[in-house]
Amino acid sequence: MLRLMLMSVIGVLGSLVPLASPADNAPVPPSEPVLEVHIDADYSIASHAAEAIESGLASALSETGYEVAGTTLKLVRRDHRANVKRSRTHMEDFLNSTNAIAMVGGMHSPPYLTHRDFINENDVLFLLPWSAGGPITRGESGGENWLFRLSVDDTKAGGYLISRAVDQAGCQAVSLILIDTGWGRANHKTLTAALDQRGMIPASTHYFDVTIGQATAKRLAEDVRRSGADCAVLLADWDNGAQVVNVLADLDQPIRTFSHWGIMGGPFAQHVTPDTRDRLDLEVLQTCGLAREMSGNAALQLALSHAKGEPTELADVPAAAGFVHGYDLGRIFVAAVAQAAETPAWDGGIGQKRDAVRLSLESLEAEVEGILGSYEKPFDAYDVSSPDAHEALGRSDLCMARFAPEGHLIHAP
Amino acid sequence: MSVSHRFWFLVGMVLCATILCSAGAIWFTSTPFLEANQAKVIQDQAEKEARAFDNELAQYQQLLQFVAAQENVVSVVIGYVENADVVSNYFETLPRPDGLISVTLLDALQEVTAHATLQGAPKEAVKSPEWIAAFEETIKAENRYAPAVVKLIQDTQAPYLLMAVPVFNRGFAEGVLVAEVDIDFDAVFTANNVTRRSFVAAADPGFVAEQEALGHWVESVAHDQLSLVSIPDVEATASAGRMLLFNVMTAISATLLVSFSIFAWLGRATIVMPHKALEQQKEHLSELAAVAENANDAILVTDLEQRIIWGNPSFEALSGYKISEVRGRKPSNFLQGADTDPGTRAALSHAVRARTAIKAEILNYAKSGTPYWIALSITPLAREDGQIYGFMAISHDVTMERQQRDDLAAANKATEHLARHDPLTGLPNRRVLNEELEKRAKGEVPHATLLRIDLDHFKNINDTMGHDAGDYVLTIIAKILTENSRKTDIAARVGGDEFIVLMSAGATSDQAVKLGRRILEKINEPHSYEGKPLRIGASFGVASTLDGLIPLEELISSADAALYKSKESGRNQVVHYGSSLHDAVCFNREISILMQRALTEEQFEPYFQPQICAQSGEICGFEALARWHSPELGVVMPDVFLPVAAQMSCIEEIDECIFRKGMKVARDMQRRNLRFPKVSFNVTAARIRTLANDIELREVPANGPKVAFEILESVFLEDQTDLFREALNKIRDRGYLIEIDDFGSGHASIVGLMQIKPDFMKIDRRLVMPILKSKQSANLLSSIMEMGKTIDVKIVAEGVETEDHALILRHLGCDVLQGFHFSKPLPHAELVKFVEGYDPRRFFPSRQWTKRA
Repeated sequence: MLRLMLMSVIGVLGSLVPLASPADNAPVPPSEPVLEVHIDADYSIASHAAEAIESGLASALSETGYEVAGTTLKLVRRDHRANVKRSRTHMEDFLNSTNAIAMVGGMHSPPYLTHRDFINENDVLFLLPWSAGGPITRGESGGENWLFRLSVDDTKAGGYLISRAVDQAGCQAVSLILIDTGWGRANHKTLTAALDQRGMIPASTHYFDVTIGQATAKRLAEDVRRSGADCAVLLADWDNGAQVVNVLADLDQPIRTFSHWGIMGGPFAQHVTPDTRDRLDLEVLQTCGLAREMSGNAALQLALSHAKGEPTELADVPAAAGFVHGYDLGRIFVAAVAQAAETPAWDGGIGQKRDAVRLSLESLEAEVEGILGSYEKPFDAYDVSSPDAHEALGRSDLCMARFAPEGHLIHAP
Repeated sequence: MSVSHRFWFLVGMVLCATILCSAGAIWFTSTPFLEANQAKVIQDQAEKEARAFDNELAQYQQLLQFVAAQENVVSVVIGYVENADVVSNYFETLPRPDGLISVTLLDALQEVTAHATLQGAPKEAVKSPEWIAAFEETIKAENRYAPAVVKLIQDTQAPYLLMAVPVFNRGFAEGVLVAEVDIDFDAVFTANNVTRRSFVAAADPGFVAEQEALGHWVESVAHDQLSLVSIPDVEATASAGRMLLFNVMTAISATLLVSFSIFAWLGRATIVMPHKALEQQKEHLSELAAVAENANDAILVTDLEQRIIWGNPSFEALSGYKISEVRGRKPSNFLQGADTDPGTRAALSHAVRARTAIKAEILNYAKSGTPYWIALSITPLAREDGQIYGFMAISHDVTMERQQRDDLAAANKATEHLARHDPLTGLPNRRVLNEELEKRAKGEVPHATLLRIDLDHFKNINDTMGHDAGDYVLTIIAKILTENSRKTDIAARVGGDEFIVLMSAGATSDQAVKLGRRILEKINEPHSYEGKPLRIGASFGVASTLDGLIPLEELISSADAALYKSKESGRNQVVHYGSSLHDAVCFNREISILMQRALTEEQFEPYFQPQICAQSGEICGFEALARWHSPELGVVMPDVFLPVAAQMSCIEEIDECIFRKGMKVARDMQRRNLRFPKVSFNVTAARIRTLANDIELREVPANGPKVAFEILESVFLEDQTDLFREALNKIRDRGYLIEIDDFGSGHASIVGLMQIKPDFMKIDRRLVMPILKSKQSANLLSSIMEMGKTIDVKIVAEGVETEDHALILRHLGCDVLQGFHFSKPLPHAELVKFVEGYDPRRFFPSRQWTKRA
């Protein structure tokens, strides 16, 4: 009932409020208190992902006119430029702020893998619409968990990718091509475990640095060929991923490639030709937004209608996963804030407000309608025994997509 | 001082002056340049040191930029990886410059992420204000290749540099790599002679201005972040300038020395030597002038208009004119006169106009009007450039010489005329004739026609009327020839009484025959000498190459053959060398060729005509007669070959052959025991002389036949010398008999006959043959017989043709008979038969003969 009410309220407000403005230019009534939502993302290198997340969030916030329970919400950009340390600075800035209510992470997992304990120990309320590193939302036993994710979870992504490659595509030998970061190393475990379940070991495993050069990439491709692999699982950001994909396509025997969605953080499709993509039969891990779109989705249409630039379909939105997740997580956050605002703690300091929201997220009463589906109690209180307590999505939300010739993703059944 | 010494002194002086002036000029002009150059040298050195310093820094910068670009360094900087050794891992393994003290990696938050101490004891990175300033400047870099930030750290011990480069992650500076660098300034700023010292300082405008004010050179280095101060060594550069000046002067002096040496050498060749030559020439000219002044030859010098400029005393002496009175006048106007040869004057005039030299002899007139001849030589006078400015006429008096020469020429002409003409008749001689024939032979049409004339019996005139008469006759003949031949004909006297008229070119043999007959008519006309009548006859032979029978070189011999024919045919006539005569001549020529072989091969054979004793009818001898057994011609009779043999002078050889073969036959007859009492051989007078001197001529054996030599009666007419008679005696002494052949045909004198005392006289057949019909002839023969008996000479009659002849002759008292009545001349074999079968009754049938046993 509450859910229906909230939906209707949101719908009315959405019709009254003009289109969402950019976070830093959002109109803020001076008479009302303002709470900031800091978006800690890479606006420089993987700007598509950051912009998509912000757009999804803005779309969700704009549905309430950036106001929840009499409090104005303001999106603040914090560009960490893929620098883990700069991200830490943002966190410290957040903690020093008296009106920063939550931080939203970008697509990169390393800042949050590195600073997970700092976040949890210092009560930094963190919403993660993209970063997929498995350990992020699974803190130390006995501590609080301040990180909430609505995204692919690598503990599941690895298994899903192997399942797709081996069980569906019939790959015989799978090479693992992984960026040499905590994210890449974390996925290595899940991927090898998934292979092990099928009685397989990786044909080869290749780590590459975050700034792989042409020569290194070629050596890497040659090593893959020599390993005898017929398929590869790729974990990379967009630019390194494009580099690797282009050299893999130059091999005499094409390697079917199943990529994590890290490559969607930037203009990957512009740097990899349709021929190359087809030659590798390239598939990309996605949540099932595209599948939802295909089956008709009112929430999606609503979200798009509030999105910057008025896109008519997901294909119009670069890094659509970020938009979808941002939007869905934005709506959950709004609902959580609304629920927290009802508690006495909301009258306390900023730390209390953050904690009230955290608790509301773990016990959200309203069912939130999102693009990927309806969220009923998307999060629970975390405990090592319930490792997915802070995961809004499950394995069933994972799908594969492929590139249309024009460069946007289409659902790959 | 000689020209040469003056020249060398001047060259030396000018050389010294030039070197001094050059030195001054170079000093004056090069000082500003040297000063500017000095500044430039200092600037160049400073720039060079600046480049060296920047290059030194560049290697550190490149190394730092290389490491900063490494992926794992970037991963550390952006916090993806924690690795405090990432810097030391690189710098401890990579080759690195010695000056690197430490390297520190700072992240974007200025936190030390990695650190390596590369020199000395390990120490922590200490962030001084310079570090912070360097970081803040570096992190603003727009790209990873931006120039490194360099700071000079004035440490208490020694200054060192702080160098920082950015660490970029995909286009963004996310950290800084800072290095402490200890530059070895002594190695970078090497000692030189331009700067005393160089050092690096911070790029502070105030400091720079201060240093520049001190005269130090300041260069920006490390991309304007530092200043390099060079303190110039002014004294050293000034010294280098002076050295440069000295070297330049030395080089210029050497160049000038070489140039002046070349100039001097060329000057010596083009100035001194010609000057010397000029002096010598002047001296020579003075000598020449003196020579000219005193020359025996008259010398005049004129301008181009031939007006006299100068003359020597000899001219005055020769012409009688003073130079002063003729200066400016043309010599031709007063020296030449009426008899001066106009042709010579024209030739002189032409040569003068043509500016060419000429030599001539010309008749001049002295002032007194006396003509005199001079040998004149006019030569154009030219300057060195070839421009002709006048003439020089040299002359000397040749009047005497000329007179002598004229006389000599006249004498030569007379001699020449004598050499070419007969002095008696004035006619051209054989030489002239031969020259003309040679000329004809070389002409386009080598033809000629001539008439050969020989007076008949001219000897008689000489003998009977004296040589003056003979000369007179010759003169008449010459006159007739001259008057009757054309002027273009050449009538020449070629021998005693022999003349030849060479007809003009183109004249035919007919014309010659006509001319000959006309001349003969004139000759035959009555002439007289000293009131005595003269009868003159002449024989003519005409030959012409135009008849197509003979070439030019045979013309005279052919005319001679025709003349001979004329003589032979009775004289006093004109005979043309026509085809029949030509054939005969050719035949004779052929015979003469065959005869040469005949002589070699002894083709002549003796034939024997029996001589019968008139009283007994017995054989009393044989006359050996020559026959030529020619393989080509058959048996040739003497009347055919003897004339040819006579011409070839080989009769004696034939006689010798016949004699030898005849004697052989005689011995054969004797061996056969056949009657062969005597044999007679015809011989010439020459043969007699040869036999007389032939020591091999054996005596006639007493038991053999008698041997006689027949000599023509005419021989006695021609050769009645003592010598001849002596020869006859020598032969007779060896037992040979002498017979006179053809007695009665000549003019043998009885006296002569008496002196020779022949054994036999053979009466000419022309006297014998008419006796049958002519009483007178019979009487003549009778008288001869009587005479023979009187002088005790036996008479042999030739030409006994019939028995009647034989009978009459016997009756007349002839001793021996010979003729065809008895036998023709017989060859050896027939002779044998004749003797063997001889019976006198065959030849005297009307008389009873007693056949000899």
